[in-house]
Amino acid sequence: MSAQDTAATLPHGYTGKLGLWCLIGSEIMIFAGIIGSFILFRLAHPEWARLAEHLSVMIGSINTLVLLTSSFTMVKAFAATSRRDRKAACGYLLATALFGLVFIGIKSHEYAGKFSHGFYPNAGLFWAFYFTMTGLHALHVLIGIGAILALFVFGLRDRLWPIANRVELIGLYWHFVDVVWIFLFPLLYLTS
Amino acid sequence: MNAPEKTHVNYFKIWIWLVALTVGYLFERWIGISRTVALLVIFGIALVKAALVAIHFMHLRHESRLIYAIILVPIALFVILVALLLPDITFVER
Repeated sequence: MSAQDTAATLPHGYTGKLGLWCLIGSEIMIFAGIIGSFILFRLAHPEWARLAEHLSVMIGSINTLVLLTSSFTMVKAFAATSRRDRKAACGYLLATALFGLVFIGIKSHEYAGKFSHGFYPNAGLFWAFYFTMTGLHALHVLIGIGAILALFVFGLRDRLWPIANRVELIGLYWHFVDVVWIFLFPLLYLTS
Repeated sequence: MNAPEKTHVNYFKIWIWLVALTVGYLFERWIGISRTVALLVIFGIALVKAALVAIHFMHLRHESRLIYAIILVPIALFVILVALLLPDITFVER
């Protein structure tokens, strides 16, 4: 049986979903490497608790709520797409992208605050971990925002339905980005 | 494409739970509990939140065993990585 025969027997859209989950699996490995390393070094350096006090729990909490809400609006966009409600789908997609931008804005403000106090990535191992982990996560958020805005534009032009399954796929990616932050927040902000 | 209405999942309810659990993080900081218990509570909450997002928002409960294998293998490798390196990095005398 050829690869094309196999693909033809799978449910419609399944190959895309399978590919997306494989992407998520590889992303888990990427973040697992750096998060695992941080956990090990954090346990070996209890004095990092004092450095973590420079991180604002309130800002981190607000960012967590922003990202959780964006996950909610993304799944609502998927539900709207399933029932072919273009207006609602576009609305929720735009809301998700805007929440993502708010997250990036707050993160940028946080970074600016750190830099103004002399905390750069080369200020020590803790800060190297902090900026690498949150920076890598922010990069994933930016990519997700771009993909969601692309779907929004397709929706505005009433060209969303031929690629409707991509709302689910990009939604999966976006929820994964949210799950990563669900673990990053307590690791970095709540272990002071 | 999956029709989420069939599962009767109330996404708003899940979101409320996620927000409440996030507030729970802050509540833990306000009450005086030991550090070990605090860490268990914090990461327990994180696991519950991640499960809520994965099961309900990502619709993982409706996916095949292949999908579960694709995500569980990297997670298992992560746990093994940390467990095996723990004695060398964390507990070495300095």
